[in-house]
Amino acid sequence: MSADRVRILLVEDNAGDVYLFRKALKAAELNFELTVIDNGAEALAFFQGKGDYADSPPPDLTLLDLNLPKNDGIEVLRVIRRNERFANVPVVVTSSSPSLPSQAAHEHLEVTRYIPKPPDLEDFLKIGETLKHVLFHSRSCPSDAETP
Amino acid sequence: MTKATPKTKSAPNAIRILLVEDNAGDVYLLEKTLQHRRIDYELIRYADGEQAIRAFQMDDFVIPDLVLIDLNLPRREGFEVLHTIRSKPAMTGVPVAILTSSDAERDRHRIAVTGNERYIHKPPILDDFLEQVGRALEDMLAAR
Repeated sequence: MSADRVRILLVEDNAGDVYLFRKALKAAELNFELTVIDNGAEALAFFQGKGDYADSPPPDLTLLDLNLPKNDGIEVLRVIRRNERFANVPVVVTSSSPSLPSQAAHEHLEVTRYIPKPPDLEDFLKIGETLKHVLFHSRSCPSDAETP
Repeated sequence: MTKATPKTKSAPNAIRILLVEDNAGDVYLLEKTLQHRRIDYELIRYADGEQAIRAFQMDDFVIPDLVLIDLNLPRREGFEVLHTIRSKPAMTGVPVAILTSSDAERDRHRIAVTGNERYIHKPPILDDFLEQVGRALEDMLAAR
C-alpha cells in the first residue's frame, strides 16, 4: 500500500462505535482521513451524489453499519452496488449480528467483508488490522472482492 | 462469543455498577461519562442477557448499587434480565435503569408497566451522551 492518506467513509450512528473505529484505525497505524455519516438518508445522498456530496470523490473504503436511522444499511448497500462509480470501492459491512443478513446474498449485493462488532474493547480495536488488510488487497487487486 | 468473565474495575469506596450491555462502544462511552463526572465506580459488565441472568441466580452474587440494562441484548433480551432482577427480593430498592438507543413507544410502555425503572436514552452524539447520561446517572445515585 502506498503512503498516501486513505479516505475512509464510516456510516455509523453509534457515537461510541465511531470513537472505537477511529481508535482501531489509529491502532493499525493507518494514514487515514475519516468521514462519518450518522444516518442512512445522508449516506444515500452521498452515494447518489446529491446536495453537498455532488463532487465528493469515492472513498478508498466504506465501513457500513447495518442498523441505521432513517434508511437501513441494506438500502445504502443497494445504492452503492447499483452505482458504477463505486464499483471498485470495498465495502465492509458491520453490525452486532453474528452474520450478514441473507437479504444481501439474495440480492447479490457484493460485500467485501462482514465484521460482527465484537463486544469486547480489545477485540474491537483489532478491526483496524482487518481494514488495513482489506485496503491493501483492494489496492493491489481491485477486483478481488468476495461475498461471504 | 462473549467472555464469561465480567469486566471489573476497582476503586476504593466505589459505586458498584452492574452493566448489561453488548456494545463495546457504549461500554466505553459509559466509562467516559463516569470518569467525566468524577464518579468512583466499580464496573461489572455482562455482554449478554444470559450471562447476566446466570450471575443474578448465583448464591454468591454481590448486590450492586446501581443496575444499567441495555434492551437489545444477545441470547436473552433486556426485559428478561429486568424480570429476573425484579423477582429477586435482595434486589429490592436497587435502582435500575434501562439504557437504550430505542425510542420506540412500545419499549417505553413496557418499561412503565414493569416497575420503577428509569429510561435513559443513549444519544448518538458524543457530547450529548456525556451530558445526558451523566446527569441521569447522578440523579439516580443522589436518589438512592
